[in-house]
Amino acid sequence: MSFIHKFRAWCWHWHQRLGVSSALLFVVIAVTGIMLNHTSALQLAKHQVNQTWLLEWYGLAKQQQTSFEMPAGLIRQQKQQVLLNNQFLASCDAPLVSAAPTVLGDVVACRDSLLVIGPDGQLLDVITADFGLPFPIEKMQQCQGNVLSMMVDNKTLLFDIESLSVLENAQPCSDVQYPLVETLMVEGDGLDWQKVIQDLHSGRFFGTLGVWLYDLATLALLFLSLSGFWLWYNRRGRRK
Amino acid sequence: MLKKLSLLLSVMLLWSPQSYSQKGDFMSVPEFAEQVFGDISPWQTLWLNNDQKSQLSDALNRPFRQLRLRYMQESETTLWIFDEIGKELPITIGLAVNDQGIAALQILTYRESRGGEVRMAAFREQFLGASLIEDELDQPIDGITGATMSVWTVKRAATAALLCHQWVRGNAR
Repeated sequence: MSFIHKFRAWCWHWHQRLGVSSALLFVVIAVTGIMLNHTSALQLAKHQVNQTWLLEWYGLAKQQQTSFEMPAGLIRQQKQQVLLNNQFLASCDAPLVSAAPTVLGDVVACRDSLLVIGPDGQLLDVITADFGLPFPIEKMQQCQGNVLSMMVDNKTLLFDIESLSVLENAQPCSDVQYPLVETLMVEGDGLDWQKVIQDLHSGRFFGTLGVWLYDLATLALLFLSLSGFWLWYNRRGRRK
Repeated sequence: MLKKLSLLLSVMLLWSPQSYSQKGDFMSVPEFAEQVFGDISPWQTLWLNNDQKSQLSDALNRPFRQLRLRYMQESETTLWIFDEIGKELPITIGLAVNDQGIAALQILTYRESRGGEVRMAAFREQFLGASLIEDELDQPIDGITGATMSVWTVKRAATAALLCHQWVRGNAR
């Protein structure tokens, strides 16, 4: 048997075995590659992963988070961002404290600022210490109209969000606030599907071993391309 | 001779921009208002329409989301406070504007570790009298080496304050 015959048999042998054993990886790479090509259309980055097993795979746990149920929707804080129905509303460096209605709009209190939200969910105003807001706010409720009752340094103060002034005269307060909702939220920035698909495409989903496995699969694909071409060319030559 | 040289070096170091203290609360809003008006005026409200929000977003180079802004006013002078990000942290800038242009500019709070030279009077005085031509400052403002982003931030706040003053005075006329 000539060297060419032996090499052809060897190529066939390994072409078939490598093709079958790598097929599943090629399917994963191809499908995820197509998905990544259409990331914007599929809005992968906007969809958060909620599957507990997948979050656990990434080492992310769901944790209790302070949120407030307002007529405009659920308000919560993710790092320094205050989100209304998961949409960015405003930045807030300090923790979220309370939410309450006023005549002007709903008010969300961080420890060092107040965010006033209109009925359509638009940000009306940001009131900080620059505008005379006492802080750190420990608790906040609506007293009457646009007057808030706030607990600052263990003292109760009345603050008018329209005139931006601390009211001296104590007045009877109705003490209205929106209910606190403890929701389970993924810690940190969460996990979006784009990250998962990217990791599946690169093999990082399976850790360092996955990257090496994908490298081997890529080498296998290279071998399959070259051996496939050679086998086709060789057979074509023999037929002639 | 050596003593004189070391004294000269010490003076130079003391006056160099690097020795200028960077972070800090340098003036409160009431102090700035008193400096401008002689007393503290009540806060007033400027409601913004979509066009004005869009102009402010362009001027400040960030999406401006608020529907209204607070300011103080006495006769033709208005006072504005802007908290704008320098490199990573906000710089609190106080601006007084009259119909001739910028009347006063103070850095009230500086939070970054570098670039605090924008507090220097020589830099701030460049803005005095500046007004807008096609939404841009009509006076050239010299930059400061090592404080480029803070300089940009102050220029953006100055442009925004001039725009807001135009809207307030436009409404008043």
